[in-house]
Amino acid sequence: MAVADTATGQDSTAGQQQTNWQAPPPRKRHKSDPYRPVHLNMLPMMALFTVVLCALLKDYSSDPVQISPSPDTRLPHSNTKLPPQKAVQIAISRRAIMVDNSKVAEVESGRVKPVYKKDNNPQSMFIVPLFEALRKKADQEKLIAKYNKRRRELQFKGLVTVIADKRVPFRLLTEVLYTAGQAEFGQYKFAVIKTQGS
Amino acid sequence: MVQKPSERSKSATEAVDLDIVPYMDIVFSLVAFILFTSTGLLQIGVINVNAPRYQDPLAAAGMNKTPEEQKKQLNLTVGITYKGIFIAGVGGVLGQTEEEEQAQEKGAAPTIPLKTDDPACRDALAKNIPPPLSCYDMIKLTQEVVKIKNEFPDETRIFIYAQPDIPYEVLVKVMDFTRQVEGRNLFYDVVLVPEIS
Repeated sequence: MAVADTATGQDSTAGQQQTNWQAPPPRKRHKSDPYRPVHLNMLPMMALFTVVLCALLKDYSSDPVQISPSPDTRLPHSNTKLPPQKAVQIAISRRAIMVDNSKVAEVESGRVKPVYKKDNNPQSMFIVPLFEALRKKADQEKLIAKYNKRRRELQFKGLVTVIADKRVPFRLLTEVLYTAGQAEFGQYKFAVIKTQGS
Repeated sequence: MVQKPSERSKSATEAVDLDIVPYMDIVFSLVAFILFTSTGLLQIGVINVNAPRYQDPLAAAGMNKTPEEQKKQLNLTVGITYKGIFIAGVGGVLGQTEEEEQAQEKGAAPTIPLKTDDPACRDALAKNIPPPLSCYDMIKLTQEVVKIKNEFPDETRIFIYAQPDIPYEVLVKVMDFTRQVEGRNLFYDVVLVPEIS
């Protein structure tokens, strides 16, 4: 019985506590500040974006020749003022040699692997796959020139733009230029980043 | 008779809210695309370089030229080595006596030696390895080239050679400092000569 009394006593205490607890009154929304949608004025931002877009498009369109070095290629800086011209592009990075964005030979420690050299001779200046790729380009350009004899800008001039990493050794550079010379490309243009004020 | 006012005049006073969000989307996408795909922020230029060409041996030796023309021919040559920069012309190497020129093959001092105030330069010199770009005294190179230009104002051709492991960056800097100074053209007709060992 004592247990039951105790139990009923406890129950009654809990019941009193429950009845004493009162939920907080619901918040009343003041009539003075009703919900209003915030209206963001986007017009200045739109004007700004339009100006930026126009400037970028102008910059994009005024450069007929796009030179985009690969991410692992760091071009040297120079005070030259000459703009790039349309030409066959040879990129020399620390890993590969590319002709118009297609890889032709691999580079290791600043040297072309001997398998790409003439007779597999590491001392040779002649890079065989580079020569073949450039020879194809020369043939294409000559064919275009043949059917466009009146248009001077389409005549074959043997122009090559060299996009080389600034850490490339002179030996590798001369090997590429020598091979280009063998494929009838005798005028070179070194791509550089123009410094301020040039 | 007075006409009834038009209903259109009342409706025209209502504000029209233009939805510019789709336009903003397009413009933002275009700006992002152009910024990420173009190298427009980098101003890329080019340097003209020629390869040496084979020519008539008589012409090369200057046999069919008048003595005056032969005298004027300079053939300015700049060599970039691990020890410094050599400047030479038809007459000989600049800043060296005849005995020094003869001794050059044994390792005589270059016209413009490397700067030795930097430990990296001294280290490169001692080990005979390619020194960093900062070790070359480019200001002095320009001063020497200006002196030569004063003597040969009509000459524009310069031959440049380098040792095998000289970085391309050094070559470009040498071309920069011999091409132009303060708006005055110096030697801009660059001919690259195959390496020396």
